[in-house]
This record gives sequence, C-alpha cells and structure tokens, in this order.
Amino acid sequence: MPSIKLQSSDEEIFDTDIQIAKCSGTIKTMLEDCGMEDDENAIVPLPNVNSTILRKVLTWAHYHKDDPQPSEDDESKEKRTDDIISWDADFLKVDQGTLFELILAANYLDIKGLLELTCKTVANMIKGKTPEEIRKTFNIKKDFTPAEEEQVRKENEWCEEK
Amino acid sequence: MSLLAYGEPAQSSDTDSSTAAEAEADALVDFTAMLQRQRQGEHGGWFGYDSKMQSTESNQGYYLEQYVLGVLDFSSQYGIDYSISYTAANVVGRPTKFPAYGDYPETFPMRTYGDWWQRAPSATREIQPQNLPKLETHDYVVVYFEEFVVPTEVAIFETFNPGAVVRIWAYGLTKHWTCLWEATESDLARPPSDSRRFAPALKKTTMVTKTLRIDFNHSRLNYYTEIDAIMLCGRTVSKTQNLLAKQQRTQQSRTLVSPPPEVIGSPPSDGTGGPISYKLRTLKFQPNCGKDGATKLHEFINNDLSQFLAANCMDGGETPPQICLTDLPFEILLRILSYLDLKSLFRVGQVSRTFYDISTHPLLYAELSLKPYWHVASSELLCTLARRATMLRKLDLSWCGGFGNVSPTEFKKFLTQRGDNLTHLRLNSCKFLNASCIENVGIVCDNLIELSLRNCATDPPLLNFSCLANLKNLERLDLFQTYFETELLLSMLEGNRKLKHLNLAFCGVSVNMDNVAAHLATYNTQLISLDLWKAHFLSARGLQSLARLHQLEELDLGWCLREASLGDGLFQLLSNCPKLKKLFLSAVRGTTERDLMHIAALGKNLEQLDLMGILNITHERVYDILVHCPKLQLLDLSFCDNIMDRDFQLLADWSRQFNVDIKSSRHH
Repeated sequence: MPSIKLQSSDEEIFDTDIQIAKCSGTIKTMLEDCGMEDDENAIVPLPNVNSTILRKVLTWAHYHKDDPQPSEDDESKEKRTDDIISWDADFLKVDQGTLFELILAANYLDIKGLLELTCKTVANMIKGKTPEEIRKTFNIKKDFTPAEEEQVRKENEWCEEK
Repeated sequence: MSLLAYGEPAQSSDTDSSTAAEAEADALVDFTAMLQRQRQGEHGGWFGYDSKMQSTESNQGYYLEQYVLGVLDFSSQYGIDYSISYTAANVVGRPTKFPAYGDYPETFPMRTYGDWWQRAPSATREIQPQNLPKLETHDYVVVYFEEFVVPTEVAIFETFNPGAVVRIWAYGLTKHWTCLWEATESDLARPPSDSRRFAPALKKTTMVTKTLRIDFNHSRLNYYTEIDAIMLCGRTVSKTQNLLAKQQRTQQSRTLVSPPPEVIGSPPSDGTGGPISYKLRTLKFQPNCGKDGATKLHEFINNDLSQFLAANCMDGGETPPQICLTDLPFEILLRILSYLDLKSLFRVGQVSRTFYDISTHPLLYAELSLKPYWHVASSELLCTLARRATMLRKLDLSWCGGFGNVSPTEFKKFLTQRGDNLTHLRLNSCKFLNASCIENVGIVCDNLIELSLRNCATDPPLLNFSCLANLKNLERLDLFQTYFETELLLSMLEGNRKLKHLNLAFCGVSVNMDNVAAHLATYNTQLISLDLWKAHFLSARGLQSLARLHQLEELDLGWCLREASLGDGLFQLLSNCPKLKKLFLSAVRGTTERDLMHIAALGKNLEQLDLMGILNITHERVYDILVHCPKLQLLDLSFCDNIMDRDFQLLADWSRQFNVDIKSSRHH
C-alpha cells in the first residue's frame, strides 16, 4: 500500500496510507494537481493543523476508510442528529477546544463526513437547552439591549413550556 | 370533518318522532344519542344513556369515568365516512368488542401499518425532518367527553394489534395542549398479540380537560391497529372552582408569559436615562451617594470597570477553552445551526446578538414544517417566520390551526409574502383553511410541484375554485379524504402534464372515476402512483383507461369496482404497466381466478399485493403468485374465505419459504 508523508503545523511527520489521506478533498486535490502521487518522499505540508488534531483526524479517517460516499440524495436524512454511531460518539468525547479545532481541521481538509459529525455533535450540545444553559455551556455573554431582549423574547414565546 | 357527517348511518333505526324533533334543535346531542340507540339495537344489551359512571362524590367534585362523546378530528381512517365500519366514530361510547381480540368493523383502524407505505413508490419525505420527535406521529384522533375533569387516567381499549399509541394530549381551559404521556422506545418494544386496556401512568397535572388527542405511530405494527374505545378518568370540578381555576390560570399566564410593560420594557425615550438607571428606578433602588460619589463612580466606570470584570470572570469560572464556539467562521456556525430543530433554533437566537443574527438567516428557513409543533403554531409564529423565511421553498403546516390558533388572514398574508417561490406545500387537516385561502394558493403559489390537501373540510367542499387550475407544474397532488368538484380536478389534470403522483382516496360520491381515468390516460401518461381507495363509479372501462399509464408503479383500487366484472381490464393493466410494484385490490370482488393467473404471469416486479376480501382465491393461485412474483414482500389474504384458519400453518411455511409477509386476519 503506497503511503505519503503529511506534515503538521508543529512539523511532525505522519506516514499515512494514501487511501486514508485521500478522504481529505484538500489533500486529494493537492496530490493530483502537483503529481505527487508517485513520489514516495514527497511531504504534504498542512500548516493549519497541529499534530494533536491531525492524529485524531487520521484515526477517524482510518476507522471510516470503507464508508460509502454520501450521495446528494440523502440530504434530508442527514438533518437527523440521532444517528451518530457509538464509535464516533466515543471518539468525540473531548474538550470543547479540541472539538472546535477538529471542526476547523475537517473544514480546511475538506472531509465531509467528519465535518458533518462534528457539527452534529455541537448541534446536539445546543438542542433542548434554554438560552441561559447554552450561554453557560459555551461561555457566551448576553449582549442584547433590554429592548432587543424583549423583542427576541416575544418572538420566542411559542417555544416556552406552558 | 363535520360532526353531522357522523350521524348519518344511524338514522334508519330512529322511529321516535319526539327525539327527532329534539335532534333538529341540537345535532350534537342527537348524534351521540343516535349512536347509542344504534348500539343498543345491535347488541340488545343495556348501555347507559350517558357514557359515564360516577362514584365517590364529595364537595371537591367527584371521581368520574367517562367514554368518548364525539370525535372532533382524525387524520385517517380505514372506512369511509358514511359507513359504520372501520371509522373513527367507532371510538364513541363504551367498548363494543373488548376484551375480544380480532379484526372487527365496529372499531377504529387507520390507513397504514408497518413501513409498507414508506417503501411504496408514492412515499414522501418529511419536510424539515430535524423537527420530528424520536417517535414521530403518523396519525391522530381528537375526541371529546361530556364533563371537564382533572385527568388521572386515560385508558385506550386496543382490540387488534396494540402498541401504536405514542402520545396522549389534553386540551385545557387555558386553551393549551399538554402532553400527559409520551412513549419511549421500550414502551413499543414488545406489544402483546392480545387485546388490552392500555392506561399508561400520566404526568401529574392540575389542568382541567374534556378533550384528548391520541397520537399513533404505526411503524412497529404487524397489521392495522384497532381502537375500540377511549376512557377519560378524573375528578370533576364544581362550576365555581372551575371559574376560579380559569381565572388563576389567566393571571398566572399573564405574569409568566407576558410581564406587564412597567417591569421589563423598553426604557422611556424622554431622555431620563439609559436602561440601567431605568431599571434601578423601577427597582426602587436608591443608593446614598456622597458628595463626590458621582465623580468617583464615573472614574471607576471609565478606568477600572473592564479590568474588574475581566478579573472577576477569570476568578469565577474555569479556564475557557482555547477556541470558543463563537470563534468558528460564520458558514460553520450556519452549518451547525442547520441541524437544529425549529425550537432549538429559536432558543439559540436568544443567546446573544451574534447568534440571533445567524439563527435568523434565511438559508435556515428554506424548508419549514410546523407539523410537529401543531400544538403551539399560531398566527404570531407565522408572522415571525414570514420575516425570516425569505428563501422559503417547502412548507408543511399540516395539523396546525385547530381551535383558532392560526387565522386564515394571517395564513393568506404569509402566502402572499412567501408563497411565490414555494415548490412544496402541505396543508393536511388544516382547520383554518377557507375558500379564500385555497384561492390564494392558486393565485400566488404558481411554482408548486407538490400540493397536499388531505382531510380538508368537506362541507361545503373547498376545492371548487378554478384558481387552483392556475397551477401548471404539479408533480404530486394529494387530495386524500378531501371532496372536490370533478370539473376542477379534470382541468387540473389537463394543466399538469408532468403529474407523477395522484391520491384521490375517499374522494366522495360526486366524482365519476371513469372520466378521471380517461383524462389521466390522455394527459398524465407520466403518472407513477395512483390511489383510488374507496372511489366510486370506476368500472372495467376506467380500468382499461388506466392500462394506458405505462409508467405506473403503484395502483390502489381498494374497495373500488366492488362486485363488477373487471373484463380484461386487469390483464391489460398488468401487460401494459410492467413496472407495477404495488397493487391493492382489497375487496375488488369481481377479481376472477383468471385475473389471479394474470397477476402470477405478469407481475414480475410486484412487491406489495393486497387481495384482502377476494372470496374465491384458492391455494393453487396463492402458490402460483408466490412462485412467479420473485420480488413480492407483502401479500394480504385477510378475509379471503377460501383460505381458512386451518391453513395457518401452511401460510406460515410459505411465508418462510418465499420470504413474503403474508397477512391473514379474520373475525374470531
């Protein structure tokens, strides 16, 4: 199995199976455009991803290497967030900082499955919570003026428990 | 659904002229009385004139057990309105079959079971599926009782395939729906194959109600579920207590839901200070300030406040994560929010200004479904959504607007603002729809690909406005259990040549289906699915017209044609429509042995075949069909009288051998 070398922002080198590396649309394009596929010693620099995050990304990609390509037809099914498999759920038992960095990495590396999974996970952290609980969970400050707050509260009256 | 419509079947048994006169005065009371008289006649037994039993009287009100007085609304039923078999009205009064178990016409079954309808070519996808609860509602029935009570128990008498009830709602004096019970996955896991009196533990409540809504989910069912009766138990409230409770509730809700403007309101604009000093004034907070107090405070605010806040914040909480949610780029936050259900999306908008801006982005409102929020959908919500949903494409308002929460005017306003780009519109069982709403749909929504108007009010028929004929791009038209004028339908068929799916089940007696079939064969040759369940005036001639729809994959002719001979209509159909996957011939009694041989010979792609109630079907023909239709998954042989109970083992063996789900229910 041919492999390539990926270099993280902190200059760690990851010897990676080419099939796994190619689940990243960004790396796939890079390899194809620069004709690096046959070059065993080529190093692909990834200046936006540090070694901790890259290691996690590659672990995820390794586990999911045989997943079928998601079809456009599944668009509406994808909106459900209760379909996360237990391996993925365990994989994402990380602190918020790591989770957000994984999102940024998935976005930068163009890994559709991982981006979807991480975004769904954050959505699940928001679902069913009150605004105050959401602020607490994500350390967000309320910055409405009283008038704005009143306006938003009025719009949201329908979702209060009665 | 008009209440009067339910009254029709019992009229024959009415001989008392004095009650007939009363009946005119109060149709509602008469309706119940008639049903009860009818039941007395049928069973010869005594049934209380009013459907309640009472005990343990006290000045606190008394404990009451009462059965359904009438049905206000339902999403589907197996039988047809003017029949007494298999209709929603059968839940009225005491159980008639319980504790017997079996398939009885005196009960209330709905239109589907299992996931067979979802696997058929006509299946639709939910709009905004992230709104759906884990156990979604497929069907519902709304019933009312005679007396208001504080509910302590609701018992549902399930006499066939129990296990479909997923939620019990009660409508209170405060005009809100409260969910008294909700099923979990484990509640549905192993339902018994026997009748049961299902009375789950309800949420403790002090609400007062006499109206219940029962939600059903059919996905676990092996066959149709049947409901015999529903009982509401609880303590009555005396009239004065009643009023008191009402008053208290209005007061409570006033303080909870909309605080008086002097507490939290916008600060006055007369230049007497900003929001904080305004708030301090209203709180009667009067600090005692020294001479240079104002200057010192000013200095503190200008120089030290930000430092003070920053320091306090660091002391109070744990160290914040390196990256915050708010550090993510806009398009990622948008993506995260796109997974939220509508309620959570609104709530996250209450978090901060940034989140309000993202949460109100039009892209998040391209598809809207208020169906899962039928109990809280209101004119105000529509008004808010009209501001946000500037890119709206798909809208589902099914089940919304009961009890006057959505006004026709607000709906029309919404449509006028946002209807012109709509491609999908579902308005099933919308109680607010009136003629002018329908007219608006025809005028404004001229880009519609799908229009679903199931269960629209039947009296007078709403769909008699030529405006709907403006629609020219329809690929799906669903008029299940909705009455319409034949001329309108014919001109719509003529105008929508790309039509792929048409549902005319229960469309009433005024439509001549042979004419409709001839029109379809001329103008709608792309048709993939056609549901004519219980349609009238279809003959072998109509069947021959349908045989010209070569793309047909699904055809439901249940209870059509009745005893009439099919001629060579079925042969033509099977020869010309090789893609046919689903064929329902329930109670099409003119089906002959020869027709069944044609099915076996030509039904290469058949997956679902319903032969329920065909009397002369033999073992040979069944075996023949099983052998020659390799894709068959479902075969309904219920009430096929030639196949008796003693054949149960044989059918079970065939079911295993051919991997086909064979249904064979009957009376016991």
